[in-house]
Amino acid sequence: MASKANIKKYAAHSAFVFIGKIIKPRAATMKEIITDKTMVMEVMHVINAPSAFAFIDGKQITVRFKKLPAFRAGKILTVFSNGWIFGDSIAVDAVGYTEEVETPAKAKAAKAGKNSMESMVQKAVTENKEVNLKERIDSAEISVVGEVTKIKKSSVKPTHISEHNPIWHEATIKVDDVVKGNKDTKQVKVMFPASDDIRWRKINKYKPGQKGIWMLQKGKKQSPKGISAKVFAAIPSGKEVFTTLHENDFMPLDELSKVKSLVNQ
Amino acid sequence: MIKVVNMIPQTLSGETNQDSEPNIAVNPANPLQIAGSAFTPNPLGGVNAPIYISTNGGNTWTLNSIVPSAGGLGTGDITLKFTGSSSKLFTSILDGTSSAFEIHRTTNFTSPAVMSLLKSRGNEDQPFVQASTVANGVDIGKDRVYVGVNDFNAAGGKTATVEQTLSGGIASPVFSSVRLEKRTTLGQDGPQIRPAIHSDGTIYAAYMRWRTSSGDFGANSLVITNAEVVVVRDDNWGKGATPFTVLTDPSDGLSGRRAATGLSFPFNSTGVTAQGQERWGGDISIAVDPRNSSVVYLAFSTLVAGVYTLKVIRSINRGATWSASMISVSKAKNPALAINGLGKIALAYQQLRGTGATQRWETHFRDSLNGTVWTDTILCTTLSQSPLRSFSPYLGDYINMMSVGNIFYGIFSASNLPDLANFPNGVTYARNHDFAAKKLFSLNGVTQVNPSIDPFFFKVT
Repeated sequence: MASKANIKKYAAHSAFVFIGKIIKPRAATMKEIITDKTMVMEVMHVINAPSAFAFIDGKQITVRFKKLPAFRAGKILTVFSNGWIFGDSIAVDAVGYTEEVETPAKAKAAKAGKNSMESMVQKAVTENKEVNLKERIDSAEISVVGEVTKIKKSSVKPTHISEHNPIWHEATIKVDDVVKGNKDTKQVKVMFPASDDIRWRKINKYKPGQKGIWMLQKGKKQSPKGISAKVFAAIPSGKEVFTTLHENDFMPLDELSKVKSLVNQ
Repeated sequence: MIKVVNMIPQTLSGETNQDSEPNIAVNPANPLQIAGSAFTPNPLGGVNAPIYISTNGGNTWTLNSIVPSAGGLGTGDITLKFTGSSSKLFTSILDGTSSAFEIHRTTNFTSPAVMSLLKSRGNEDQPFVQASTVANGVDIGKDRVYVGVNDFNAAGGKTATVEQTLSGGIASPVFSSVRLEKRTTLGQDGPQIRPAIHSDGTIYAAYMRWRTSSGDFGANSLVITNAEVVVVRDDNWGKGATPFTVLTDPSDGLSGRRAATGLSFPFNSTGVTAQGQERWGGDISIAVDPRNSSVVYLAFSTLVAGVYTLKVIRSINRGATWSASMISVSKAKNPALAINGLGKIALAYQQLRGTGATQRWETHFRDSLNGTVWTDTILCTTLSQSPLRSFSPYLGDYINMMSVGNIFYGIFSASNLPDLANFPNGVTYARNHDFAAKKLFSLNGVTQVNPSIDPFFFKVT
């Protein structure tokens, strides 16, 4: 049985978690793969995966381990993994695994039970999300609830013209409530990249009338964790520049109670 | 004969990513080996981004996640090419995490081993790689790699650069930055810097010299005015003390022949609905005749009476003089030129046709034995407003084509709606689909999947 800490760590670093049965050690489902660290496994039950892989149950895939475990065919494992090769079959890289004897049927039946591996993983995923959100709240200079009243182009000039320029804009937010920081704050301004170029596609963008919760981060004094280097490097200079470049720096209003509870932890 | 193949494998039937801006590499030593790239992230996360690989001449494809670049985000701009007999594959990318310009190499593109990082530098744009292995002479067997890149670190706004190595096969190749621009600019050149290699050691490169502009990039109103397509050449693999300087312009005696002048075009920051959700930005493609390095074709875009127009010109004297426009196509972008072993010139591009709800993106393949009379084949025609863009560029700032022997190999991105009427010359899909119902399905073959932008391979024999 893996420790809860390990499950939490594995879940934080893997996009694909499944319960699977070992079909054949030192084997692969695709001929190009060297099999010294791989196994063929049958996916019995998907615990966590992008929606495109929702129907992979029953498929045999290749799993590559950092060090091949000494298990025989028939052993059931919970595997935490990321993608590797996608062709006639799929191969994934294992981040970690647990030796669960729990069957998929039991997992489904005990989904709500605290001893179920599935619920443990889901709980770990949820806890990891909350840890990430808490880190952004802690990093923020001020957290506010409000509404965007105005958008204007920033005076920050790019050093050159590129299709990848962020095209910084400034959103003015009318503050309805201060979750963290100076309670007298009535209005704040946040800079955001308005560009829809591929470089900026996953960064928060705002429109007039948009409501939500902003975790406003002060310039480059914010924590860089979870922000890609290219985005962090692009943060405009200036004493009072606020940005929201991490996905958790803006949350919808229905997350307010969670945000408030995390502020108080 | 024309073959068009949707490159998404069956195991990714559920994906809906916008796989735009594709590039292709065919191994000259074994044309059954083909690699492709696009804005495709690793579908299941991880630290490496995928390339598309085929070992059966493009009939079927696999994603091999071997590019060290933020797998879940994919790469930024990416291009790739094989060398010649050594069969090494090089990629030039903007890293998905840092945005740094990077060059990677693998000696076996089907291997699951991560590609080696050979070069990394920040503050660059749109790297575009070409590669070859020297086939004869004193340097026989050496791998030569040329990456056109817009290097904003260059002094004086002379940003058009070729990053080259003359020994790409050694453990730690040394790359040097060759500054192509010798004239003043408006502060930089355009992002399109395109090399072309001939096996006799003649290397051409074409770039867009930006001179003046109007409007504002952030407001999506920037127009580059009075621009020039400049062609440079080296006759010995770029080996000399002053590489890429043998071709001069008669007007000022400086290196770099101004092949086309007085060009104007929008440089969009984002896609425009009326432009089929796509951005215009100037285009360049260059190809040299494998039979005769004196013959070189050049494609570029400019506004003609306010209409974005693609033009092709030719030089038969090593770039010294250039013809008038040999073909002109309105509302067309992403030109890709290639010349095959028979000297036949081929041009692929993507053209916007119609307006409003019936507006379509057409991907054309045209070829000509003399540059005057051209065939015209539609590889793909899809509605321009569906699916909706999830980021810019919608289809890409480039597509790509190359030849090996007498065969043309190319790649483009388009809507994957499985409607045979969209593919007049046929198409094959590995991902789950129903041509009769015009629907895509997930891995279970039952749950419907929304259309998205996919890369398509094509081969013309």
